[in-house]
Amino acid sequence: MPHTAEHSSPNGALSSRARSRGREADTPPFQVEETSSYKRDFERLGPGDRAQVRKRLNFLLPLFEGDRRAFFAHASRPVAPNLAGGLTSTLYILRATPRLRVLLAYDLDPLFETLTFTLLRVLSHDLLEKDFLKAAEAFHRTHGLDLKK
Amino acid sequence: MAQPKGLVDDYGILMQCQKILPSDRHRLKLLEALAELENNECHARREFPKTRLHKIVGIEEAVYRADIDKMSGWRLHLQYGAQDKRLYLKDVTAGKKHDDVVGTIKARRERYE
Repeated sequence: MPHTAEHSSPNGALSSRARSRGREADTPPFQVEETSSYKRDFERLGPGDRAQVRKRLNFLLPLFEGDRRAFFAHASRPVAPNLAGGLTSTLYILRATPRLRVLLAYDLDPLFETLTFTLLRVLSHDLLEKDFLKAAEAFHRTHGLDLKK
Repeated sequence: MAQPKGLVDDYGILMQCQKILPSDRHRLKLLEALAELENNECHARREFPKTRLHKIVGIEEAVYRADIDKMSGWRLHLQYGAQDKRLYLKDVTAGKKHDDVVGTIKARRERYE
């Protein structure tokens, strides 16, 4: 069954697909959660940038389901966050516009058959490795995980 | 009768629970938690009101936490086997330590894939 209509949240990212829990397709539906930091960053953008970020996310996030290689062609990270316990972080930076980057994490949940994107920050294109690691550390800490020093 | 969902205890977590849970009330709660985790209807509805089963966010691995007792913070750590679609008990965490996910996983690193 084809994807149904997309909805934009007040802050511009996709909210969810109106597809019922992966029954009709091999790939799970996806949800988007916005952290308060992301909402704050987004509110600070001008109308043009907001529209561009919104448009870009509407294009890129569905790629994860349909063409993961294409999704990761637009995603990068200066360094992989080194989580204690040998766990693998899913934090990445998406190129939203030439000047703006969106920091996000994805969660593929095989039990609940969901895919969730957590939007963490909107940052400048010239963010440094330490900025990325700082954001990564803050995010993972909220879920009880620490980065290895 | 519906087939129960497979729950695997390769590491003797239930035996450990029997030893370390502080009271019979907690042991009863554990029984309720296990019943919910095995309940295929809960899996079909994807609703786990007692255990609040949820994936640990931001990591690739399918590691889950489930409450034994919400108030005191005793929790089970489980991993979902995508191949056989069964839940594997990995650890039990004491009330005061339930937020220390890494400490728990790190201490039992060999159990997680």
